[in-house]
Amino acid sequence: MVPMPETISIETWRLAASYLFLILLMIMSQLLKLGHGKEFLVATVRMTLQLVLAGYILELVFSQQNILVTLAIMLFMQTFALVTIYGRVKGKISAGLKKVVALALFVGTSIPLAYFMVVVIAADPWYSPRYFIPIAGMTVGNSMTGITLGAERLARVFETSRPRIEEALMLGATPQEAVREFLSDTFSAAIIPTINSMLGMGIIFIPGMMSGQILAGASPVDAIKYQIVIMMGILGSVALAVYLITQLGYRTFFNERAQLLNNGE
Amino acid sequence: MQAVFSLRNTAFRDILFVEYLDIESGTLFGITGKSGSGKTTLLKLLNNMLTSDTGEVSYYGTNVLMIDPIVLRRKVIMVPQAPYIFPGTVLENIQLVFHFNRKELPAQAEIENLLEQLGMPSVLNRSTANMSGGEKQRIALARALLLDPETLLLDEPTAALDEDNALVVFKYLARWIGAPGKSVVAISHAGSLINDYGDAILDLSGGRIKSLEERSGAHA
Repeated sequence: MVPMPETISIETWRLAASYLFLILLMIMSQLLKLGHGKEFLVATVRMTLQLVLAGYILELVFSQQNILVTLAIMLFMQTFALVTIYGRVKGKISAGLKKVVALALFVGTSIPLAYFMVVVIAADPWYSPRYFIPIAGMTVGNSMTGITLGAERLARVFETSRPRIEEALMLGATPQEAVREFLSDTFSAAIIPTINSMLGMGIIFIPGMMSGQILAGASPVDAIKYQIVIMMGILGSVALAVYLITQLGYRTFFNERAQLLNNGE
Repeated sequence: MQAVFSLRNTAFRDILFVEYLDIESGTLFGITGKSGSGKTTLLKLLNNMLTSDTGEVSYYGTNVLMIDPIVLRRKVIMVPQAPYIFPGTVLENIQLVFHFNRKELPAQAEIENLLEQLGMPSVLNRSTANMSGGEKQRIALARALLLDPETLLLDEPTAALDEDNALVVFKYLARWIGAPGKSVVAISHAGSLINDYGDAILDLSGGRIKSLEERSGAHA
């Protein structure tokens, strides 16, 4: 195999030079009288500060190799994802479904991640932050999207299909039978974005993680191996989280007497 | 005669208040009253689709809360005023509800015979997509009758039917309750065929019993 060249370390002035594109955008905004100049600036400054901070924190964490710090970072990511989901579905889902969302997120991301670290990556130690944290980030981020789609869809089903669900109950169906088709639809809808991203991968786009590895000097063949296993990890995590949302979530719309609850009850 | 349903001091929100009511088994029990008088709420309390806030509702002497709601709803089938017909054909609809009830599908001839008696011959393989309100109402009734429940709860079963078809339905129900252990509780507007076929007519007003008229010699 051809030896890989050393990574080109970006000098500070070259890093600064990359901001030329922001200046171009600001000029265009001015010419087009978009009036969004401030937002572009804020977004760029935020991105820079967040990444610089993340970079230094990760440097520190990687040098420590501390299990508690690593797990605390994962917990922070999961909690941040949960707050983001709650923000997106605000007012659309009940308190009961919110609890299921939290469970789906924590269980749905933690179990596949543990399997991944121990069996697939076989890192030493298993919680090696260099592997654990980026993979946890990708898993949690993708599951967050799946869970949001699943929870929103489920809430909408119970809002728009009440007559159908009630009819099935009055004809002797169990709550699960009354909503079975909707659960399948919800599961598919929530998992389709992940499947679609797999379909185009490597042809329509080179995934960010793989590009990053190649830029950092890894061989493309190694980079694709990582990309494949990570896509499988993401798929497993999204599937488990969405499965939990549908299978546990629908129960929050019924009481113990198999009666359909009003929204928000 | 034994009561199929008994209500004692039954109240639901500010919609329904029934101090004492026995519905006799083996009868066609009619409920009338203006819209908003609590008729549908009463029906839904009987199959435990709703639970009363106070008092109790019993089915053959057992508090409905003591009966598994799914088991109860397989014995006491309700057909709402605007029934939902599942997508697919008429036969598929019937197959689905038999699946819900863990029951074997009757022979096709038996199903066709019932549909014919309700004035719907040769519809078994028709799609339910473009059916009229009246057709849907009779499909829903047929679906419920084929399940052979002990009790039928019907919310305005003939509201979407013309006079001739409404008569067909009431005549069928009158025959159906002739079989042992069968009862029907039907909401119907005053002045309808329930006057001719009902064994008792309960008139509700503002969620309370205005009158209960027991009749003899019904099922004319």
